[in-house]
Parts: sequence; C-alpha cells; structure tokens
Amino acid sequence: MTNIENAFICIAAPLMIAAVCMGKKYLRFFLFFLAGMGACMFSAYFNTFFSAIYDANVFSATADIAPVVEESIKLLPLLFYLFVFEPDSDEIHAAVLTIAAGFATFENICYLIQNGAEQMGFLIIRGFSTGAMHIICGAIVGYGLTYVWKRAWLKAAGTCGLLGAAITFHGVYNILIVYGGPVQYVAYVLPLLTMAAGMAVKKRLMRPGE
Amino acid sequence: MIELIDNLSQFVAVFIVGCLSSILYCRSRRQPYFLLSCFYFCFALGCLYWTLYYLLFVETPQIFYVSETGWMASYIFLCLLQYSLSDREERMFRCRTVWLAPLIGIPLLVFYCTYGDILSNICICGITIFILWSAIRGIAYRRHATDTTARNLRQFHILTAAFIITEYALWTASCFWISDTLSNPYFWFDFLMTALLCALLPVTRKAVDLCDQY
Repeated sequence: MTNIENAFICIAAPLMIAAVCMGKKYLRFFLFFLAGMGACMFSAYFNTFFSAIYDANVFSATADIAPVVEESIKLLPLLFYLFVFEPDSDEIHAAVLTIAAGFATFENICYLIQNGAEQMGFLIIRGFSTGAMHIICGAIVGYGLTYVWKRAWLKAAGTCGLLGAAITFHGVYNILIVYGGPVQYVAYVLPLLTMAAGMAVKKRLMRPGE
Repeated sequence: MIELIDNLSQFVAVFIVGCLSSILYCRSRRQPYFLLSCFYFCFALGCLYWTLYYLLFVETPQIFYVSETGWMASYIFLCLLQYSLSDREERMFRCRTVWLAPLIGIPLLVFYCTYGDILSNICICGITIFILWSAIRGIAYRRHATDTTARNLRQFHILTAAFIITEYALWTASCFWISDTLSNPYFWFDFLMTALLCALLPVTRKAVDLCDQY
C-alpha cells in the first residue's frame, strides 16, 4: 500500500514555504504545480475507486480507466482558473503546462515509491517520456483552449473535444506501457516524437509573415 | 486479420489526410482547416487506440471506452466544422426534412442500447443525430443553389450525411457479426467510411477556398 497523501504532504510543504518566501511573482507557478500534484493524488483515489467498482485488473485499470480519470481531473484546476480569472492566452499556456508538470512529477514520485529507484537508465527514459506525455496532453488542452475560448460558440464543445483528444492520446501511451516488453519503448518514444512535431508546427505558425 | 488490416488502413488514411489538413491550416490559417485537422486527428487516435488494444490484448476495451472518447471528440469537431461553414441564415432555416435525423437515429439508439453501454450510446448517437440534422438542413437550404460556393457547401453537407449514415450502417452491422472475413458487411461499410473520410478533405477545401468569410 502506498500512502500517497503522506508523500504529497512531504513534497508540498517545502514548495508552499518557498512560495510564501519568493513572493507574489512566483506564487502562481507554485500554486499550479501543487494543483497538478493534487490532481494526480485525487486521480489515484478515483482510479482505485473505479477499479474496485468494475473489478478491473491491472491492464484494464491502466489502459481503460486511468486515461479518462487522470485527464478529466487534470482539467479541473485549469477550468477553475479559466472561469474565475479569465486569463490571457500566455497565462493559459503557462498554467496548463505547470499543472501537467506537477502531475507528471508526482506520478513519477508514486512510481518510485512503488517500484524503487535502482534502474537509473530505465528511470531516465521513463521520467522523460511520462513527463513529455503529460506535457503533450496538457499542451493539446492548453493550446486548444486558448483557441476555442476566444469564440463563445466553440467553448463548451471545443473543451470536451480537446479533453477527448487528450484522453485518447494518454490511452494509447498507457496501452503500450502496460503491454510491456519492447512495445513499451515505442510508448517512450511516442510522446517525444509528438513533442518534436508539435514544436516544429508551433515554430512554423510563429514565423513572421506566415 | 482482415479486421486488423481494416483498422490499420483506416488509421493510416485518416492520419495522412489529417496531416494534409494541418498543412493547409498552417498555410492559410483558416478556422475550418483547424477544426478539420482536430476531427481527423481525434478520429485517428481513436482508431489507433482500438487497433492497439485489439492487436496487443486480442479483445476490445471492456470498461471505459477510451477510443469512443476519441471518436466522440472527432464528432464534436465535425459538428463545429459544420457550424463554422454555415451562415446565420442557414442556421435559422427551418424545414420538415431535418426530422429525418431523429427519425433514423432514435430507433437505432434504442437498438444499440440493447447491445452496449447506455450512456456512451446516448452520447454518440446524440451527437451523430445532431450532425445529421445539420447536414440535412444544409442540403435542404442549398438544394436550388446555382453558384459554385453554395454547390460546394451542399457537397460538403451531402458527404457529412453520407458519413453519418455509413457510421449507422457500420454499428448496425457490428451487432450482427458474421465472421472475420470480407463477406462481413461490417468491413464493406468500414472501407467505405475510410473513403468518405478521405473525400472530406478535398470537399471541405473546395467549400473553404471559394469563400472569404472564413
């Protein structure tokens, strides 16, 4: 059994103190990071809950339940921010990516607690790919939201659509991971390749005169 | 084997047209291309998840339908694409023909609910009925159109309606599974759907390129 709330408190406490000490300028970063970590913790609870309800095995819990639960819960802090503070595009990007980073960090911590930290090489690969996967899912939602929230008629449907896209991407990654063997290395490469493609497209879109 | 070929070919085809559509968006920055790219990529992701699940676990997803979430997202984007391509007058247009959409969709929804999960069927059939409704309304609104732009938009609506009807045929065929061979109508409809999905890009392009409002 993993007491993840204890791990959460241990990691959140110094971050909270740092947030207070560093002042208002950096407060938002820490809050979003903590929100991401909190979302990860609540996702773990909901994953366990749904796995128990559906009597799911490890495969089903990872491939079927986790993507839906994790992406949905990860979106909640962002939606709160969007509804309450009505931020600009740049602020949305920063918020969603920080939440995703917090989520990925805490997920890695939970993985280390459960599986140990002996295999350094594997952990480097896993750390980067999980981080990249969560960042990509965040980017799909974040960059999409900055587009769809400018247009009133796109807001609700567009948000659901983006959430669906993020869930499916996460599902594809998890399926490859849970299968194990050489297939999981495809999963590790997939988010990194997608991130490279996304950055190339972003660069192209940012080019002046385009 | 044929199911794998069918799913893989659909994924590859949709992914390629999705990339082409993204290139068009990068070049022109027109909103319909963005929505079309989202439609294609969500559909492709749904296909990829389904194919991988089938390939690796030799069964279909049992608890949450992640691939259906992807397909539902793609339908939402298709719906938004229809909205963005229609003008205010078209959206306000009223005719009795549009009732064909619920007339076809609701009995099918009841039928599908006897086979599968009620909530996901309601969500998917609800949105497909809405897409079919908008497509029929668009066809009816532009049925006497003579100018090229209106004719291109009518083609877009016809193709969208054909896509949804093929989806219904596909789902119905999946309820009466015959065999894993080409004699199964399910595969005919799925290959037809792949062709329709590919045709959607040039048809949307024609509709968008001739019109300045987007």
